[in-house]
Amino acid sequence: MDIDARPSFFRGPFISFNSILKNRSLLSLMVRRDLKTTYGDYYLGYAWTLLEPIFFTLVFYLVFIILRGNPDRLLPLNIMLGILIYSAFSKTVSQGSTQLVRNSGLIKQVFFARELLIANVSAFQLVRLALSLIIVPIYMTYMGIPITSSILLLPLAVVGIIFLGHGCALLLCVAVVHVRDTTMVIDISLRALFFLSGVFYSAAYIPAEFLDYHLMNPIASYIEICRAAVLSDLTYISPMIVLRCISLSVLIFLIGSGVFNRYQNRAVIHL
Amino acid sequence: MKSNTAIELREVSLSYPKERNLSPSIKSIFSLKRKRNKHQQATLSGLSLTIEKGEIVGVLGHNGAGKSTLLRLLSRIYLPDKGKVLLNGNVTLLAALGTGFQRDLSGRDNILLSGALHGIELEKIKALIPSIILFSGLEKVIDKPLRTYSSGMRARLGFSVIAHLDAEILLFDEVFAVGDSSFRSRSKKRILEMVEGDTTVVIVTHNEQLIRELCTRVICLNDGKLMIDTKDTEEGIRQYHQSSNQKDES
Repeated sequence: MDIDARPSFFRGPFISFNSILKNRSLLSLMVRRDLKTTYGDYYLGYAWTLLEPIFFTLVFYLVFIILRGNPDRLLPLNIMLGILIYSAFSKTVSQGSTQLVRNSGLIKQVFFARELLIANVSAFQLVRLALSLIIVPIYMTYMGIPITSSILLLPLAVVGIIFLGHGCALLLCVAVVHVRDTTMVIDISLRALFFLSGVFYSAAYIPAEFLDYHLMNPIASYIEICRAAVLSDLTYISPMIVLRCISLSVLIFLIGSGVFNRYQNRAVIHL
Repeated sequence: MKSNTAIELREVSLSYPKERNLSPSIKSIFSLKRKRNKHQQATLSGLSLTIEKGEIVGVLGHNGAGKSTLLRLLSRIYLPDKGKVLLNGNVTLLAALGTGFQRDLSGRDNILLSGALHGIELEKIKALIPSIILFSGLEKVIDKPLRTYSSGMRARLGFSVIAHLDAEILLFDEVFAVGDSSFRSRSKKRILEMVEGDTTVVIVTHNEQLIRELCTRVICLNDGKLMIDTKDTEEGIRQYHQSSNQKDES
């Protein structure tokens, strides 16, 4: 058995894919562990994944519709979708990128595929986001919004945003081991991206001359795709934008897994 | 690599950063390679070693001699900077009890998780669960969260999991003497069963009695280099003491 300490950058994605495929039962146990430890001890358990967006929607309704008198009755839904999608991305990146550091004890005790640590975060966020989005059809029915074929864009955007976050986490993971300040840079960048990604405003509020720039941000685009899927309004979303987002997610994943697999073996020494 | 060889190290070198657990300065990141080497210290240097199948090797050495690093290299946690580590068989490192244990999960769930982390297939762990629970003697509390266990109970559960691992090369890093006297005697018996037959074992311990009882060969590391390598365990321990005394005097 001979292991390559620094595999070629281009072999990285294949190594990651094979590791996850080979260790899928361990990955599933890790995700179930996180779900149990996150929700298992609460009386309401998994219902919290639904209660959280319901609570925020009520707050937005109170603030924007009742207090501010905004006539757009879909605004709370738009904001809730923005928050759910953005927080899934943000948690995937911030938690995924620190996984090597946070699990240094485990990494030094047993050999296992370390990309599983990051995949665990991404899979957990995917499950959590999917559970939270159960509120969407309920809200659509309540508001009388028809469910059309455009709803099929929703699962695509959900998987796409998590994949994008997973790629970013892989890309940053080794950097966090070498320079711990990276976590601060990630934290600040994520906070800035929150305001730049249209979480609290939809593309309708962006001046026409800046719209293309706004949609170049893949997170903003994914949020818009989700809104378009739910409201069946494809004014700002074209097949080109969907394709661009997915291509960018795949590209970042390929680069991220290339970097991760090439440098993680040496990074472990620094833990 | 010969078929009867379990482990072969060829001129293996590994260096650690000098300031561990500290982020390097921005200056050091951008400095040239020559300068970066100043921040590294060799932990193992040019180590060559061959271990045959079925050998039980005791590793002695002072703190920081490179014993645990050697085991981490053999278990692929670390990969060498230079040289090659060749292994003939699946390897299990037993460096800590309760690897991957999660305090909010039940003992049963923790058996599944820890077993899977050690590379056992899920179906196989499920089949082993009754035997692991029986060995641990924790039948009454196995479905309670781990946070309700005493530290001794956790260690017993951890040992019970590793006692059921099926490896061709076993690496022990000071994971003995767990629990009360009855459990300790069962543990020792189980370790003896595990090291029987064709299993190759490398034991890092400061317990010389254990080396006398179990090992068929003793090696001693000093500053990452192989100082003593003998099949006469008593002679190996004597040479180790002699070199320790010389080091203390100097």
